[in-house]
Amino acid sequence: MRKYDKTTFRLFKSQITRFLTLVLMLFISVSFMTGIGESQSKIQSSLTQYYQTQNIPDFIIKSNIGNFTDDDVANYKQLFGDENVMPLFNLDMQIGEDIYRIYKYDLENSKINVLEIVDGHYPTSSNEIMVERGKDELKTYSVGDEITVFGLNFTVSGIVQNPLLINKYAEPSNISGESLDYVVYISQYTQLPLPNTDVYISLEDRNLFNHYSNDYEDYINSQTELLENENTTVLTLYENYGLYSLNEYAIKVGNIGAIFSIFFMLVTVLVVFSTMTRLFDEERSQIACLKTLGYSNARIISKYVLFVLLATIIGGLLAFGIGTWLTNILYSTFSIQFVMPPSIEGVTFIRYIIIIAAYIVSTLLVTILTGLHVTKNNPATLLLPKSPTPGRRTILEKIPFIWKKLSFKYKSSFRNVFLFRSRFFMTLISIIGATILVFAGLGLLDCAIAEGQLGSIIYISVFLIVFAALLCALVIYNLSNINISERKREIATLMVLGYTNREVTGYIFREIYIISIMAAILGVPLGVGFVYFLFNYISFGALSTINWWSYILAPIATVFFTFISTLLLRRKITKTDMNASLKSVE
Amino acid sequence: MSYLKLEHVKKVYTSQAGSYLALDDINFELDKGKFVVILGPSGAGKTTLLNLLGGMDSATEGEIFVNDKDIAHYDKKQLTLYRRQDVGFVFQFYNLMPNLTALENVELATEICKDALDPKKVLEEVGLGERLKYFPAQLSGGEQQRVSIARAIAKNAQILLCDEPTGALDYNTGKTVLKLLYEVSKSQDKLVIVVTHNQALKDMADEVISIKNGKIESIVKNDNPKPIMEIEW
Repeated sequence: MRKYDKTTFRLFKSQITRFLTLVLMLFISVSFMTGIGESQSKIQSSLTQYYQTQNIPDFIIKSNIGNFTDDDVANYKQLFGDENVMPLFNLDMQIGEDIYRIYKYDLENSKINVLEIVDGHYPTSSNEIMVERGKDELKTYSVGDEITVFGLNFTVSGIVQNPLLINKYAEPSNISGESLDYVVYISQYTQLPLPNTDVYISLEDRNLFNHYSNDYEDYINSQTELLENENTTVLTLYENYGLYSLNEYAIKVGNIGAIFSIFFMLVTVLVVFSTMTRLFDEERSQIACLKTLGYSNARIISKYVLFVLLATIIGGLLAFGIGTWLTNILYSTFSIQFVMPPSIEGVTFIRYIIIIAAYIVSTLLVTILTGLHVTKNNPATLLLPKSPTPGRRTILEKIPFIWKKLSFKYKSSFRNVFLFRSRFFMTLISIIGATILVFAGLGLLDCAIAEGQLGSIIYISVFLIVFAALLCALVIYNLSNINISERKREIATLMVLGYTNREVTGYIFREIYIISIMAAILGVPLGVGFVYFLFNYISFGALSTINWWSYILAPIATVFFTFISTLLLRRKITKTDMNASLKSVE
Repeated sequence: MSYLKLEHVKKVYTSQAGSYLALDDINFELDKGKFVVILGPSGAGKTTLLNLLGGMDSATEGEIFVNDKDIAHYDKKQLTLYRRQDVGFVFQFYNLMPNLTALENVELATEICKDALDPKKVLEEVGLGERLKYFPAQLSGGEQQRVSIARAIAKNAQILLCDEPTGALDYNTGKTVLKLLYEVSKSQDKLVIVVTHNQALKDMADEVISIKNGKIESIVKNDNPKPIMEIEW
């Protein structure tokens, strides 16, 4: 091993905590981004596949006079092709207390809107019938049960799933606003003089649909105008509540994911920037030494680039597992509301590649820029300690009645907070970002619960909150960790002066608490702004629906994470080596 | 009995690489009102000794009596209390808080002591009465070191430990700082211990303890110490 590579190896060894924190942050960000983005794709491609395999009709033409003649049907066949037109009988009627929807057509041989058999088999005789499977509101029978329809007695031969009825909630009937209780299917074997009330038409080009693509919409609109007249009503897949809303929810989930992803990415890159800035500062003297030995800036920076690159790649690759898991979970949560089409196997790797590549580019960019900023100094400058930022009076000191009441410990903390402006703002913005994410997650959850029907969005909120909370906790932990590293000397001095562990940690953490409380408080109004934008963007939810406790819970969570971080980092402070930190100016 | 007394003090550092004998059989006693120099080349064990005297570490063997109490085997809490009440430190690099004014830096120490002196008065005594509200970055090196000394004095501890107090200062400033420390030992009846590798300082001390390779090489009492301003290096 070359000696220079040894320093690289040692960098990883000595900075293992930072390295792991970065890995974890990238892991969470990438998992979230891919998991949510991927679930939109998965739902939509499964929907498209379902549309294709079941040959779901694009048009349902209903006769206003209750009957399509053979000429009418022939006409449609001429327009759309023999294979793509299917006449059938369909009627909603009351039988006893219940509302029935009755279909009659060649169930077994029809190529359009192929029913999935859930149980039993197709009718093989005139007295057999099939029944739609039960849903939340829709009732059903069991195979072998007896039903009387149109005065005839039938035996249930099978239970089916109609692709047009994937919504689990109440399906409206054509009768006085009542919802359906049963859907039954009479086969061609039953000799009943029933008219063709409906015609199903499926388009020849099965690729046009492509989960409600724009081209599909344009085509459907133009065809609907042609098909519709005083004798007919045309229904399209845009009027199918189940299929259409499934697609809409998938898009909503994707949009929520996209907006949050931008935030996740911003916060993550910001924290990488803070971490690398600190790392370069700590390694000033080593960098100076390498420079005097004649190592090029590029060579010196490459070590840190590798550090960040590996963290990003490892985090990204680990995210692949969780991301896929998250996608499957989100997919299955849609079953609360919909009879989900069979899910498409596999993952679109391209999304992972793009997202990980985006992270690599952005994290490496901040690393290289920070590195160039440090290495452009000549070795002599680097060997000198970074000149301390001179103490300065803060704006608060101009308000004597507040300033005088503060103990000098608070004075020091406040001065620090305002003194190191860039560090302060970076920390503040990162924590505000994380607070906003938590608040938005809670707000989304409130609205999803309030609107009741959106089971899937509830789950997405739950997940969003978990990821936002994890990110928030990591951001605070990492920034606090950096803060402690930067103040080793101050910590050692306080210890030598006889400050107890409790007093020293208090002194250091006070500043972290001040920033995190400020961030928590600012995070709420900014979160409201963000949520307002989010709700508009996804056309869902209202600010007024958000519970009052969400406004309190989000900032409390931030402060709580600060508390946990400080608890974990306590040891790092109390373990500070008084001597090593006092001896030299690092 | 003397204010400070070391008996058979031994310090061994143990690590994975093996154990290292940093101090071996150290014996001496010192009284208040004395200006003492501990002299030795780097690696001799000066810092280890300073750590033991300053309550930053505990001894492996032996006793260290400070005002008749043996601090050699204090636990961490007791050592913290000892540092808080009984010793004042003056560091080579001053170790002032950059974001506190001179006065506030002294208050940082006095705020946690029982019988602390008035920080303002102490700063006036070390000649910084006009600089109370200055931040460290606005003070010269010598001034910063005087704040550091004021911080140690104001604690009203009986021992002042100074680690290469002139190490980061220029020649003349170094001299004035040493003069101040010397005067403190006499006027306030403190035990001032200066740890240094600078041989020239031995002429100004009441007592010089030389260490080498972790052992005491010599203890020399100086009945007529030279005035600091006459010393040259």
